[in-house]
Amino acid sequence: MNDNKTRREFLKKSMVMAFAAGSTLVPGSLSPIFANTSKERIPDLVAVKNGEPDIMFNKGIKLMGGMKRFVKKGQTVLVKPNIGFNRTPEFGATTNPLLVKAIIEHGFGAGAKKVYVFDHEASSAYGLAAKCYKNSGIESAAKQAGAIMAPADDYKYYQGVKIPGAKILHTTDVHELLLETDVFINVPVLKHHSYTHVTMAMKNLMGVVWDRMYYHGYGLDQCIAEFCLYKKPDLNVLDAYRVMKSHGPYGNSPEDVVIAKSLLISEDIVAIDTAASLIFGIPPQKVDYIAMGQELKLGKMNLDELNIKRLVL
Amino acid sequence: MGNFKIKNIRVVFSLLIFSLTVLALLGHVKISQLISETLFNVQFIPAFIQFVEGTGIAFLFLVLLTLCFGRVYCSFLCPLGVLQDLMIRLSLKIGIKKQHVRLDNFIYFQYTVLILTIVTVIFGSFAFINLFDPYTVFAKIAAHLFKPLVLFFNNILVEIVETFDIYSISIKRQNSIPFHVLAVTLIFLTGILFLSVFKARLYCNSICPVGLILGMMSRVSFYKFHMDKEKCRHCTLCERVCKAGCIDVQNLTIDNSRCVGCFNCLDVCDKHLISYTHRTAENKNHPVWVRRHFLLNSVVVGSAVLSACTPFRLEKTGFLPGKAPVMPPGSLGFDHFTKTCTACHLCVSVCPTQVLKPTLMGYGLSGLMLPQLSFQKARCDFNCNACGKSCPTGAVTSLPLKEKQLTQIGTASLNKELCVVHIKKKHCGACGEACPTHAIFPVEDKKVIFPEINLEYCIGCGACEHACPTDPNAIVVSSVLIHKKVKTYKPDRKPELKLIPQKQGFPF
Repeated sequence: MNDNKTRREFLKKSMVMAFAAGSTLVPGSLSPIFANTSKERIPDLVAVKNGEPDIMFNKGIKLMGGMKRFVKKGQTVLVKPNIGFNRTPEFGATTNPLLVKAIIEHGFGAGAKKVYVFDHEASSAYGLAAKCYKNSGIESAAKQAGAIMAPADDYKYYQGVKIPGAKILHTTDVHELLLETDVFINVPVLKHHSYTHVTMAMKNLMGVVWDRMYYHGYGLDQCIAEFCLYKKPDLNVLDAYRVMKSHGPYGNSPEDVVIAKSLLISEDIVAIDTAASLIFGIPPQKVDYIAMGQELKLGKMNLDELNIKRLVL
Repeated sequence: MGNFKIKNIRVVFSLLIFSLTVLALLGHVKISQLISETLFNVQFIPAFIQFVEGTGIAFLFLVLLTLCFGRVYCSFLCPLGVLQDLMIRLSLKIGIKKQHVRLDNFIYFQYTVLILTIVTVIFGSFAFINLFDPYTVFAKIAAHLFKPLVLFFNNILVEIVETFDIYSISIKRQNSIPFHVLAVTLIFLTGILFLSVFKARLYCNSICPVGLILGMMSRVSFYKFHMDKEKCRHCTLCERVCKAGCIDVQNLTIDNSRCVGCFNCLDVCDKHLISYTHRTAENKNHPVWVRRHFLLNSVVVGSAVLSACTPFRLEKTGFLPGKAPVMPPGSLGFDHFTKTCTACHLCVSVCPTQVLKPTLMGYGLSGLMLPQLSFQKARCDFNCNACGKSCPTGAVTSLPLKEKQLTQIGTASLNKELCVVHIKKKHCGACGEACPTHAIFPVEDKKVIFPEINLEYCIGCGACEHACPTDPNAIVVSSVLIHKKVKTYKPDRKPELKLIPQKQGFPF
């Protein structure tokens, strides 16, 4: 009984919050995106704090120079959140649906022709994906924003690709939308991972391949880093609104979650993971795939070299 | 028209039953559950099992129905009967066959099947029920032969609409059914279709154990078919439309025990010399019981009662050939499962993750083609209890989701000599990541995180075995013969929720 009550209360609260957030978004925040006239240097990393997920993104993307820097008129966009687990948003196991919605809206605002959203369910088991799409709240959020929820749970959607310069992950099968779309936006959620310490932007890309168990069998950290040799996202938006601090990646209860209300945006996938691990509270050196990513020249771990814009709301 | 024709009602009603049965076996969770809870309760063997197990009384309704109206079950409720009727109709339409002939009596063969069924049940084997129960036979045909056709067309449609970026319908796959099981199903389908084309309802009157039991009851049924022996002009019209071949115009008799209650004969006689009337109007000369029938019937009834009494069943796990199969959550254990599952494969068809797969001999002689959980390509979804909800016999009892999530159907064990983390000292965690109950937990040693298992929480869902990347799998689930309840996972310590000190609001 108690459980039910708190869950219902929570839903009510988040609905009110969503409504409030939505109403603040509509009047003023969309127009400034189109009017990006600032001659300031574009930052390498934008960090926003203390706002609702969508509001933080609205402010953050403006600091990044607006969505128009990434999405040109008539282009197709792929938004890849973490929808790998059948969990409701309060577990922090999946990307915040409000954030996904805001990104899609900005994509369309910048003139995108189509926006696709998908993720390959984490256990790659038949018949689980639909539940993940639904319970994460991302399906309905994405559809409301006008995006297309594409399936990723059948091998027919995947195509083999070669990965240049890889030592372990020479070839893999990637989702066809990765090949077809013009712009690739990676939207991971920051959370604990019992077996790789923490999961962030680079690890989120495991959801665009068919056989992720190959990674597990042949060197998880190395494969995670090497995949970026094939394709790096055009933009990474890391959701650290709710951060699962233990029992990751599936989580045990909403008690595992700390409300960090943070958001990171960067084109540099190594930098964003470095910053995210600091937010999580783990030295980036401890997360093997980050160091491997730097070795492969995918990005920079030294945040002092970077131009970071911080915004506390 | 104006004429009230029972035959027309029968055609409409049976087609409805047939379509609903096929629909249920296509495996949509909610539809299957609804149909299973209603329609399949009045399938003879499922109803009988429910009655014996004390979970349903629909069986009494069937007995009463037959004692009142004869074997109408065979034409109104039995999907396998309707399948034969459709085939018969087709073969008459396209002219393979012109008319039915009176059939030779195969009753001794049928008695043999029935008695063997009962004897094997007494000795703890459901093999004959798995093979010959008409509902089970039909269910397997629908699930393994009709369903792929439907999926094929569904998937073509998906391909077409997806080119327009419409994803509202999705690709549906069916787990590969073991070759032996498919072969048995196919043999039964072709056999029954062949019989129905050339010998009409011969299956019902020469093999079907349910048909025989119903036939025995219909000898004494209240309503029966009668012939006006004085006025009959031996035109044989009725004999030629009788699918059961039970009308003998030469001797002016109708064998009501073989009559499947199709009502074809009633209308065909232009003088209305065949009537469906109650017993008081019966020709008193017609013998109801022949001595040999009476003896056989007594044997059957006696042994049926015996087989229903569980104490007489022999210990069954002795039949197990090797590694016990993992049984669905809700099946309670080996003993309960093998004495209630008819192997209709409704759960196999319904299972959303397709983890349920039939095994021909996995249960030894206790049952043929019973389903088991196969973790090679699938896992049991933690948040699903569809198999129990849809099972028509109660072999897989319906567990509330919370209870199912604590029901141990197997236990995982890790072979460290095969485990990636142990061999390569590299992170994997595929099993732990997939484990929904936190039975698998991480242990860090020299910067490498190893998986360990706590069986107190393991329910045997197979998520770990399915996820394990090694070949052969380092982590495997073995069956638990009597299902148990496990503890709910409680973390030893509260997670550390503090974030490290921050400058300008950020730690960087």
